[in-house]
Parts: sequence; C-alpha cells; structure tokens
Amino acid sequence: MRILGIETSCDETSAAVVVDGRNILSNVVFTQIPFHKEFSGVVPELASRKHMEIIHPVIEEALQKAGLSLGEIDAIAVTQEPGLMGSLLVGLTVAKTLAFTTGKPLIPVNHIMAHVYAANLGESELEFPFIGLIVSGGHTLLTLWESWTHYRIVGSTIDDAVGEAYDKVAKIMGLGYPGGPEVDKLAKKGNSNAIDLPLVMLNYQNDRYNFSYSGLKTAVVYYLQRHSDYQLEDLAASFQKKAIDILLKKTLLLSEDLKIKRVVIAGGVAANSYLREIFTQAPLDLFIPSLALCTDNAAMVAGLGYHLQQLTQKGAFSQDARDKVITKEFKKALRQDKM
Amino acid sequence: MILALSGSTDYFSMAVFSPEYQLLGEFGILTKKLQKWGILAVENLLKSVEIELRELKIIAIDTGPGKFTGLRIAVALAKTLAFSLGLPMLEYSSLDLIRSQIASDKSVLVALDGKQGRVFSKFYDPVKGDSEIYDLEPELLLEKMKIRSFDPDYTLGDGFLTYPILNAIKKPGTEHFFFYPKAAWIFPGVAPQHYQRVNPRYYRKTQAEEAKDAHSGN
Repeated sequence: MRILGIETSCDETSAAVVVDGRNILSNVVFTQIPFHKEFSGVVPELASRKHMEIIHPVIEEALQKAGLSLGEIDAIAVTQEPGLMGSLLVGLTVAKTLAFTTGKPLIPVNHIMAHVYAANLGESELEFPFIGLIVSGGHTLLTLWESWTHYRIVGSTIDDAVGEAYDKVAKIMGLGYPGGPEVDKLAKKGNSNAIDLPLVMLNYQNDRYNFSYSGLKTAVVYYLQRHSDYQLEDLAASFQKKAIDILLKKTLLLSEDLKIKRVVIAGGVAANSYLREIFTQAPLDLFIPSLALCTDNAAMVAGLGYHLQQLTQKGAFSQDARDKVITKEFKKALRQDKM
Repeated sequence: MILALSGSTDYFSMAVFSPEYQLLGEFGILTKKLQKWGILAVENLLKSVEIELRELKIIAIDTGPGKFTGLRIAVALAKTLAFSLGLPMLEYSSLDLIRSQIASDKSVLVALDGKQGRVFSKFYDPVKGDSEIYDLEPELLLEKMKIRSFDPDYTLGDGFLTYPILNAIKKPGTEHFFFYPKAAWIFPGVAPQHYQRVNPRYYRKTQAEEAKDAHSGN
C-alpha cells in the first residue's frame, strides 16, 4: 500500500511516500528555520504562510522522487494533531482536498505518535511491547505501546517540555534558534559538574513518571542574574546534564517497574548528542530514529498511517485540526493517577 | 465549467459557472465552519448542479485581502483542486469582487474589516484611476481620502459595519447589502494562471514582523 504523508504541524513542510509502512520512497522536508531564526522562535502566522506557499511544490517533489503520480497513491495520511493550529489547517485542508479529488482514504495521524513510529523506519522492525519516550519542543511523554493502535500515556511534563526548556535557556543565554542544537554544541566544550543546578525528580507517588522543567529553567535565570564569573560552556553543560539525566532516570524507573527493556526515544530532542550517549550506555534495548527522522517529517506520518488505515473510514472529510492532545485536564488526571 | 471560491471574510461562498460565466449554482457556509465542512460543501454544490469534478475546467479564487485563516483555508482548498485536477486558476481580489456590484462609472470605496483596528480598503475612481490597496486604521483612511479629495458615490464592505466612524462619508440613498465578497461575483477578463503563482494576498505583515520593524525604526 502506497501512502502519501503530509506534515505541517510546526515549522517544517513535509511530504513523503511510504510503501507498506516501512519502505520510504521519498521524504521531502522544507525547513522554515531560516525564516523564524530572526525572531528567536517560531512565529505561528509566519509558519502558516510559509506552509501555504510551499506545500504543493513539496508534495509534487515527493511524488516525483517516488516515481509515482497522484493517481497511483492508495491513501493520504496527514498530521491532524497536535501542533500550531494555523499550520495544521494548511496540511489538513490540502490532504482532505487530495482525498476528495482522488477518491482515496484520508488517514488522520497524531504527530507525537508518528515520532515514535519513526523508530520503526530503520533496518529492523520493532516488537511490542515497548516504552516510548517522546521528547520535543512541545512534549515530554513516557508512553507504553502494545501495538501501533494501542498505546497509553504513563507520564508527562507538568509544566515546560524539555525542548521548550532548551529553547528558553538558549534565549536567556543569548544563543541562537533553535536552542537545542546550540546548547548541545556549547555543552560539549563545558564541564557539566561546574555549576550546581537542581535535578527535579518529582518523587511524589502520583508524579512517579512525570517531569518538570520550569524549576531548572528558573535556576538558570537566577544563576545568570547572580553571577558574572562563569563560562557559558559550563552553564550549557550543567543545564544539559540535569535536563537529560532526569529523562534517563524516569525511563529506567518505568522500565524496571514494567520489566520492559525495549525503549524508543523520539522527537526533536532525540537528536541531542548527550542524550544519545547516556541512553546508549544504559541497560536498555534502545531504538532511536536516524537523525534525519528525529525532526518533523512526513515519512513517519505515512508510516504510522499504514497501520491506522484499517481504523479509518473512506472520505472522513469532516476531520478537524486539534492543537493540543495533552490538555490541562489531562495533566491533572495524570497527576491524580486517574488515567 | 468554473468553480469559484471566496473565504476572505466571515462568510465562505462557492459558485459554479458555465464557461460563458453564466451562474449555475451557489452555496455558502460560515467561514469558521470551513475547515470542518468545506469539502462537503463543495461536494454538495457540485452534486446540486449535477456537475462532476472532471467537468471542471477552471478554479477561481478570492485571494484577499481579508481574514487570514479563512483566506488561507479557502486558497489551500482551491489550489489543491487545481493541483490535483491539473487546472488553471483565476485570481480575484476580495475588494474587486465587491466593487463589481456597482456600475463602473460610479466612484466606490470598498473597506473590509481587517481586524486589529484596521481596514483593508481601495478607492475605485473612474476619473483619477484606482488606488492601491491600503491597510489602515479608519481615521487614517478618512485622512487619506481627504488628501486625495476622494468623495465616493458608494461605500461598500463590512468595514462600514465594524467602524461606525466610516459611515460619515456614506451618501444618502446609497443603501446596499454588498458587505462581503461572494464567489458568485467573479467576472470575465481575468487571465488564467498556474496554481503555483496563486497565493493569499495578506497586505499585512505578521505581528512579529511589525513589532520587529517598529523596534528597528522602519
């Protein structure tokens, strides 16, 4: 089955063709980072405008690289949630219209879950069950997967996402955008034990698998306000160590509790070099997507779409975009262990 | 057959025309329902006039100015129809569509509510020639009219509903209902073009860009 995937949830415009959920025929990604860089972050309205300008040429290129015409596609998978509303709307409208004109099924896909699926686009096929750690600018989630259609969110951040903390810290340190790679680059030259920043464990029973990054971020702000004789490299390395170490500690905790060693790490922060280093050394069967598939891309959307298509009704044109899947109510319920 | 779409204001409209621009049918929904029901609305309109997708030869679209989200969804829908069916497109300004409802020898001011306390406007002057499209606060628009000595016969567009200050220039006996552009108002004489050349015309930078310009003194 040949699926055309479309991804426009944030600042990458992407289209891909994937066969039977595994074989990537094409994966075209147009990054908007140069346009957002001067604003030190993604400007939602600007992102929507750029998606609108570029989405059709990106789809055309993906079809061309795959050597297929639109008529030879069997289904269209699209990111429906979560993301920037204006950006999601562009991709979803284009996908719905393509499904309408070709008479092919429309498969709405959750962007976060697609990030986990990216680990299945490597050489070997993933086996269930496994733990999924999703780390990006919008999410920090611990998930448990029993199949591609059955997963459960076990833990989440109660405030900032890890990638968000990276971007904010990079901004206050006067580094460029996106913050993650900038902090990572600088951290490699620093001493991660030079500055004592807090490791926010959240030891309460209901927060066993949850995360918090606002305290760490605030500690960096206070440190910068109160000190002048420090090396920026040391601060970057000390922040990075605490931000990433907590991800490993909580993942190991869940792994031990569930007796599941297989772990997938997905999302933009999975590209972080320190994260890759310490997780690789941990007693886990680790699956991390290739660097190219860690950032937003449509191959992961088309791939997961293959497994979701059986759940999809033909011509489901009234699908709405959704900007959030982790709502405040969800977080509250998660902390009260009602999930 | 021509399928025309307009989503630059609160009201999303669509219409089907014969190749000779004879209106065969039209339909509309609130633009806030466009994302959910847009495709179904197009499907239903085509069914109601008994026209199949393969019979469409041109896609016409209102590219603004107007409200950004509705504009973007309508243009995305229209461009994707043109892209997937291999059809050329006709591009119309929302202001020109409204202006088309008044005789061409009359002078007209069209002002559409642009949100953020501003209106998108254009002076249609049969004597001195038409102006460019402005994105101004209502007070500044009135000032610009004074400078140009522009005294329109007709004032059209929902800008006059949102900003009562503009009604001061309305002439008695020119009451009308031409507040929103409609797909049914497309007109002949527009050159077809490739879908890749058609994009929403925003006529306004993003707030982040405006803030940056203000900061740098531009």
